[in-house]
Amino acid sequence: MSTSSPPKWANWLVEQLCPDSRLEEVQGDLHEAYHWRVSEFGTTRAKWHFVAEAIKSSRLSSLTPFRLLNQKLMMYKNYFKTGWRFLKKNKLYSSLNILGLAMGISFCWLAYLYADDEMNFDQYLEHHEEMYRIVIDFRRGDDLHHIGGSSNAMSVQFGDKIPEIDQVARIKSDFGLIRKGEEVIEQSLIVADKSLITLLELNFLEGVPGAFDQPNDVVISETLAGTLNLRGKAVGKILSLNRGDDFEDFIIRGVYKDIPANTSVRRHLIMSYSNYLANAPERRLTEWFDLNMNTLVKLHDKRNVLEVEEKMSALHEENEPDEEAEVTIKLQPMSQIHLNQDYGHYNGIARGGNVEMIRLFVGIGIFCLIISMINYSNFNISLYINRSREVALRKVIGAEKKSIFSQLITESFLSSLIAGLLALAVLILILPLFSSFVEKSYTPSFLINLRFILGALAILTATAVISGFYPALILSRFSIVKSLKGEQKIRSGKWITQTLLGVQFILATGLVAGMLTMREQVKFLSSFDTKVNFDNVIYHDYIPAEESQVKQFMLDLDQLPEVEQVAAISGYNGTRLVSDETQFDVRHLRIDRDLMNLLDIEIVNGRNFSEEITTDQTQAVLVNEAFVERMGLEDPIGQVIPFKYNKLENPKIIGVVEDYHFESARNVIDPLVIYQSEEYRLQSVYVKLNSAATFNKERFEKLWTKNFDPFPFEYSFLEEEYLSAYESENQMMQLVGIGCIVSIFLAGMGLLGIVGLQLNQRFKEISIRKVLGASSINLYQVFTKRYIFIVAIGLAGGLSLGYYLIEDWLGNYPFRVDFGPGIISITVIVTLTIALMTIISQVFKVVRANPVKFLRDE
Amino acid sequence: MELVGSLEEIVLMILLRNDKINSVEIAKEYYNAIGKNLSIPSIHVTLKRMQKKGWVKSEFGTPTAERGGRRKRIYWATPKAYDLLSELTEAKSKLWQGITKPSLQYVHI
Repeated sequence: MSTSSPPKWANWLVEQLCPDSRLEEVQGDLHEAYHWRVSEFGTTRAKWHFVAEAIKSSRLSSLTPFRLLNQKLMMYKNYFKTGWRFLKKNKLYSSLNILGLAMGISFCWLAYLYADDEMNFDQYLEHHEEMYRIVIDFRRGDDLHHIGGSSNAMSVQFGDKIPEIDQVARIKSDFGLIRKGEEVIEQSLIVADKSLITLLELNFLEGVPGAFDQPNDVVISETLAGTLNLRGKAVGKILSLNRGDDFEDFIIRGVYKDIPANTSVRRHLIMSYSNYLANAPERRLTEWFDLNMNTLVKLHDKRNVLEVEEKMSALHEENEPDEEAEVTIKLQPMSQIHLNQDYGHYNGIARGGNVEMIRLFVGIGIFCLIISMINYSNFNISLYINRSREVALRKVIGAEKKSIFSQLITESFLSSLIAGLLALAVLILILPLFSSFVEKSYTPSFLINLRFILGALAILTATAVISGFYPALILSRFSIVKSLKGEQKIRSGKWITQTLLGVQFILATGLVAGMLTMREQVKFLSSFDTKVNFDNVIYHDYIPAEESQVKQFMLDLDQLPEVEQVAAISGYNGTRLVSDETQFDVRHLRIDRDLMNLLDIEIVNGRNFSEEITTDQTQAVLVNEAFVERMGLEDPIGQVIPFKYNKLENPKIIGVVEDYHFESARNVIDPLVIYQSEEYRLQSVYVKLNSAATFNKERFEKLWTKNFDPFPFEYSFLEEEYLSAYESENQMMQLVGIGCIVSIFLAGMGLLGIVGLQLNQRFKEISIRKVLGASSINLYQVFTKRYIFIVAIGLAGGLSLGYYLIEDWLGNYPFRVDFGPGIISITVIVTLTIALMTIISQVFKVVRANPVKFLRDE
Repeated sequence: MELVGSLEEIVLMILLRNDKINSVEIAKEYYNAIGKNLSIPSIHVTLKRMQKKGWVKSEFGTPTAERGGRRKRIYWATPKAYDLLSELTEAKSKLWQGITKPSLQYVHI
């Protein structure tokens, strides 16, 4: 045998890297082989072989980190197994628990989905950070107006004279009818510069927009191409479009992939801006302050915003010096367009989001999740009494507090995982319902994106950690000896359980109070006395025709036997009234025929327009009471007012109408001037019928088609028109209603579980009380009292929370209900009834039990 | 017939020729027969695999000084391995019959 020995470090390596079970054999063999090779080939080669074989003998699984990981995994496997058994053992409570958690999680996911979608509008665009909309702050006196618009002249000058601006895209919205064979299709469209196509990163499936500078150039979306049966062969085809007068021919230059739903500028038809340039009167193109479009600009560098804004305002001063008004031209970041309501959403900008709705959604989602997490913690703390022996045994065998803690957290992960799967099923089931509720087009495929998945997982993980943390902390601190003796009581757990129960009821009561108030407010608004008689009034809005046609339509309507009266209006416009003493904004309305009589609006002072007096047609106005008050007129009749609009100047007041609500009752009534002179085109027609029953849609439609073909017949009842103004309130009320039901349900479930569990541990006490002669009523009193106390505290807290939140919301309404005794008492009754019923159902079970059964078992 | 890898085949043959030997002795015999060095870990892996398949059995032997006082693990082949190998050898020799050396030709392209 040779005296040399193999390299020590290689030997050490074998010891580290070879699995223990095989170390003896491997190491021995390597040594033996070494000695053999020394005698056969010499020391050097033997050493080389030894090192190579030492490395080859290593197994990754025996590296320390991997080995420990393996052990840990085994531990977690065990945790999962005991956790699963625990769940199976308490089937009822576990399923209540997990169901609640699933509801909370799915509500939270929905809220996240919605909020994330709404808050990231337009942000997928590569250059969204450099993109802005031109908006204007207009201050005169104390009045500040936010205007979301710009003029052609501005856009042109800004593009030419401000070098920091890279691209300018002017956008106007329009509406038309497309001819498709025999039928016509209504289609909204935008007229825009070619740069819009670049800025929106439109993807062309067929053709290219090319120069896009001919008045008859259009591009259409994939969807519209499909509707017109032009998919795959659209390029170069003629599109016959009617925008009010006659059908004109346009040439389809390309078909783009549908613009994503989370874009603020999205239409299915884009027409070249040159069409507007070719048709608009010169004045509209050159007048500086004719704000009738939206302009998007892209800067070279977003750091230049302030500079550009200054330059724009300076250019404004140059073009239209105005000493009275202070005008600031601003740039609104693209990402803020959707949710910022200040500058409005019109002229090509899609309807904006509702920040209140998002807040409400997120708030309710979080409320529900908190309630279900509290349920989870409470259930587990109470159930853990039964597990104190298991924990004690684990500790005796050598488990540390830390490992008990991680065991329980693992279990809450298990529950959350199951709840998460359930929640996913719920989510997919109610997604169609939800998306129609919020007027979006969410599909399950919408859920498969990284942002949503990460967010949803984060919510799930947070749920598991938060809901498992407290029970785990409590249980891991149990004393071994007491637990083994079965004497362990959750002392600190008791009051924390009660507190959590109280918090649940605070949240649930707050939501109930909120919902009731909202319902009252919506009811109040819907039945608000607008001082307008809607009965049997039909309303045609936005009639797309010349005035002569509208008048002919009215004459035709007169011929129908069921029609009692017809009147037309221009729509309520706004202007500013300036006199020596005062200046303020007034609304003005042109009417044709006797609208006041048709709508039963009372003339409180003076007289109505008269057909006999010819100056009524040109120089007379009616005003409303708000106007009289704002002007401070003592004796309004016969007064000449400094009102000016187009040719109507300094008219004379002939009568005062009562303050009727021409808009929704959400706003205060503005000062109003009503005239008959032709300053504005007539565009809406009111028809009063003898009775609603005689309304014959076909006959109306015939007259409509006679006058306005090819535009499709549209009408509504005036009452519906008014009520539709409260749609967003209705929607919010529904949402709060759902949240309220879910949270009350969850809180009730939590109460049910806790009362049941706590009473289960007191069967013996109750039995003894009964044996000693306690009556049932007595027992009900004793055991209901303590829970009622918690519920009462929850009620008080919930009502103050509700009051705080709802007063804030009610503050938006000049006409509103009070958060008063009515709402408070209904809230109290609803919550208390549910809580009492829950508690009594559990106490009933215990009180009815046979005492012998529980006293005998020792 | 279960497939036998070529290294497995040779190791099995060596085991069948001998009575209870360890990995190093297999390596030595391999070297004597084939003239090449076979690394010990690869023998270990092969043996372990064959043990799972039931072709080989093992037990601890006595410790020796060469091994620094460590016990060695000795291996032997099972009858199942013998059957398998004889079947394989027969099949191989059948295949071999009638094979002639390929003539040295240029390949036609």
